[in-house]
Amino acid sequence: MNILVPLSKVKKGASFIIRRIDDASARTQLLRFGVGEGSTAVCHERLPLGPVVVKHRRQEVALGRDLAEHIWVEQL
Amino acid sequence: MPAFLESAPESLAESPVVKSGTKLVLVGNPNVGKSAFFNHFSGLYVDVSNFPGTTVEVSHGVFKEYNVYDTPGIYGVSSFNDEERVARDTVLGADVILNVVDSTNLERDLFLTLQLIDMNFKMVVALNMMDALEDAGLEIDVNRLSVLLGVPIVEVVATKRLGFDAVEQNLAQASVGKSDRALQIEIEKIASTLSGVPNPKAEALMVLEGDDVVAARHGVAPLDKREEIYVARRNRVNDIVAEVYRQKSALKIGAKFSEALGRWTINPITGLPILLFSLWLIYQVVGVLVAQRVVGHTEVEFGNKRWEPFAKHLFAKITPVTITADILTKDETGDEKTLETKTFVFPNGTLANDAQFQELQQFIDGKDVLQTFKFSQETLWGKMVVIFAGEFGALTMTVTYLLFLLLPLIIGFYLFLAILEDCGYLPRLATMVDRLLTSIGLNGRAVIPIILGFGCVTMATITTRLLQTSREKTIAASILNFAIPCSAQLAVITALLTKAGGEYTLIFAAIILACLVGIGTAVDKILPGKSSALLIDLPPMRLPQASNVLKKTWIKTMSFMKEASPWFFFGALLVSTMQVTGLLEAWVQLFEPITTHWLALPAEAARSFVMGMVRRDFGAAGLYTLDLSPKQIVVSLTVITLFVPCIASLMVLLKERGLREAMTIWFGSWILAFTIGGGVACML
Ligand SMILES: Nc1nc2c(ncn2[C@@H]2O[C@H](COP(=O)(O)OP(=O)(O)OP(=O)(O)O)[C@@H](O)[C@H]2O)c(=O)[nH]1
Ligand SMILES: [Mg+2]
Repeated sequence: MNILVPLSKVKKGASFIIRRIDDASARTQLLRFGVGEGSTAVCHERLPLGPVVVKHRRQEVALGRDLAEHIWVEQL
Repeated sequence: MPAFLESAPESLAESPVVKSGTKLVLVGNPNVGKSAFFNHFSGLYVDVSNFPGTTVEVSHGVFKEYNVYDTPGIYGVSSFNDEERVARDTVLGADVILNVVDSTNLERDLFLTLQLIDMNFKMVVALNMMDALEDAGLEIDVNRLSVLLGVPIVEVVATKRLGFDAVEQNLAQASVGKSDRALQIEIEKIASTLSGVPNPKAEALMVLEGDDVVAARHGVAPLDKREEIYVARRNRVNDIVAEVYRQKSALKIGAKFSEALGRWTINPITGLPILLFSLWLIYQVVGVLVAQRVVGHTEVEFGNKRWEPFAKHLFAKITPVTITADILTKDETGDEKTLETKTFVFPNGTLANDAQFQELQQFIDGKDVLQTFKFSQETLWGKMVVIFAGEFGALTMTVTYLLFLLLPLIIGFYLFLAILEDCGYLPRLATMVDRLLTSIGLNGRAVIPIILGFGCVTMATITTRLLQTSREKTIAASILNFAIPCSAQLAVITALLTKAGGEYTLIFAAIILACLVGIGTAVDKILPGKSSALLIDLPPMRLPQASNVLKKTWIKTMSFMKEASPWFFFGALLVSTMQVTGLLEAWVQLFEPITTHWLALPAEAARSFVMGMVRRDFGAAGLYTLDLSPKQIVVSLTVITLFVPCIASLMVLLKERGLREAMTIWFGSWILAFTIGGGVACML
C-alpha cells in the first residue's frame, strides 16, 4: 500500500485515488456526488490556505480546507 | 402569514389544486433544470438560475390532469439538510415522478435516479442539457440506458424547449424501474408493516437507509444500512454509466472556453480582477448611467414637474393654496437656474378665482417650470390634502419615489443580479472567498444569500436555508439584516454617493464592510459550536439566456413594486399625518440631540428614521431630498444602512429565525446604527 496524504497537500493538476474520508457526513455526501472511497480524481485548482477544487469526470466539487485535511488520498 | 408575504415571488407560483389529479413531482439534483421544466408545464414562473440551491420551497402548478410540483434540488431522498427535508415529503407523496437528469453528469445524477427506482415510484427520466452533452463531445446510448433502468427516457433541452412534447406523451407510460433484487426483498419485509401512506415501499427504503424522521413517523426504529446500500448503489451507477457513455469527439471550443473561464474565476490572481471588473461595471451602469442620467431625468422631469403638479392642481381646485412658480433655464453646463419667480394666492382654491388661474397658466405656459404648493392647513380638509398631496403626500411623493426614482434603479440592479445568477459565477465566487468567510464563521456558500441580499434582504433571508447549520444561518441572517442594503436602498445610496464623490464612496464601503466583518465575528464568537466546511458542486459557466434574464428581471421588479408600494403609501401616510398633527416636529426635536449634535446632520434627517422604520429604502429616499455635504451623506447613509430591517424582512426573520433572534436584530440595529454613525461623524 502506498503512502496516504491529505487532499489539502495534493498539487494542482495531480491525479489521485481517494482512499479514506474521515468525516461521516462528507463521506455520504461525496458518495452521492459520485466521489467515493476508491474513485480517481484530479486536483483542478487549489487556493492558498483555501478550498481545493476536485474534478471527477465532468463534475467539479469545491471542498473547504478543513474538509480537505480529512480526506486521505493516494497520489498517482 | 400576513397578506403581503403571500405576494412574495416564490408563492406567486401557486395555483388551485386539481382534485383527483395525478400528483406529478419534479425531482432531480440541484441545478439540472427542474424549475425550467416547471415553468413550461405550469405556465408560472419560478426562479431559474445557474447555481445549486435556487429553489428552496416546493411550488405547485397545474398542467392538464396533473398537479405539478417543483422541488428543491437534492442528491438523494433523505433528511440531511433543509432542501432535503423540504423535498422529502412531496417526493414521498408522488403518484408519478419526472426525474430530471443532467445528461453531462450521469455519474452524479443517476444515484438519485436509482434511489427513486429502488423506491418503486412510477417515473419518467428526462435527460436534460442534451446541447451541453454535444458540446462536450459525448454521446449517450439512450436505448441501452432505458433498458438498464427500465423506465422511459426522453432527451430534452429545457432552455430551448426541445423534447417537452415527448415528455408529455411519455408521462402516461411512466413505469416502475429495475431495482436490485436482494434490496427489494428487504424493502418488502418492512413495507408490509407500514400502512397509511401512498407508497409504503418508498418509506420502507427510507427506514432501511436510517432516516430518523420517516422511521419515527411509523413508530419503528431506523435501521443502519445506509452506507452498505449507498456503496452498492454507487457501484450500480458506475456500471451503468460505463455502459452508456461514449466519447464521440473532442471538447468543443465553447466548452473549452467555459472551462478556462471557470478556472480563472476561482483563482484569486485572475479571479480578483474579474470580481473588481464586475463590480466596476455594475457601478458604471447602475450608479452612473441609471442613477445619475436616467433617474436624474425621470425624477425631476416626470415626478417633480409633471405628476406632482398634476395631482396637486386637482386638490388645489377647491383648497386654499399658495402656488409659487419658478421659471427655469439650463445654463451651458446643464445646471438649472431660476429665471423668474411669481407667487399666486388662491384663498378659496383655483376654481373660485378663474382670472388668476388663467394668469398662472399663461405665466407657465410652454416653459420649464417648477411649482411649489403650500396648502392651508387651517381646516381638517386642508390637513387631509396635505396628507395626500403635500410634501410627503401619499399620492405625490410616494409616486415620484416609486416610479421615477426606484423603478429605473431596481430594473438596473435586478438585471445584473439575473446575469450573475445565470452565468454560474456565484458558486465560483463562493469558492474564491471561502477562506475569508471562514474567518467570520461562515463558509463560501454564504456568499450566495449575501449577494442575493443586495437584491432583496427579505428574499435572501429565506435563501439562508441553503446553508448547512443553524449557526451559519444565524450569522448570515444577522449580516443580511444588519449590514446589507437591499437593491432599492443601494440604488438610492449609489445615487447619493455619486453626488458625494469617489473617495467618500470608498469610505462608506469600508465602513459597511467593517461592520459586516465585525457583526459576523461577534456572532461567530458568541454562538457555540463550529461551522461546516465548504462542499459545493460547481456548475459550468454558461452564457446567460436573454429570455430568462429579462423574464426574471421583469418578475422580480413587478414583485418588488407590488410588495413595496403599499408600504410606501403607508409610510407616506404615517409621515404626513405626523406632519399635520405636529408629531413629526416633536419627533425631530426629540432626536435633535442625536441628529444635530451626535451625528452632525440637519435636524430633518430624523424624518428619514421614521420612514426607515417602515422600509429602509424609503428612509434612504427621504435623505435624497435633503441638502447634505459629502461628509453628512456618508454619516446619514451609514445610519440608514445599519438601521432596522424593513417590516417585511422582520416578518420573514421571525418566521425563519424565531422571536428572540429577530428582536435582538431589530433592537440591536438601533444601537449599532447610531453608535457607528456617531463614531463616523466624529472621525470624518
Ligand atoms: N445548456 C442548457 N442549460 C440548461 C438547460 N436546462 C436548464 N439549463 C440551465 O441550467 C440552470 C439551472 O436551471 P434551473 O431550472 O434553475 O435548475 P433547478 O434544477 O431548478 O435548480 P435548483 O432549483 O437549484 O435545484 C439554469 O441556468 C438554466 O438556464 C438545457 O437544456 N441546456
Ligand atoms: Mg429550481
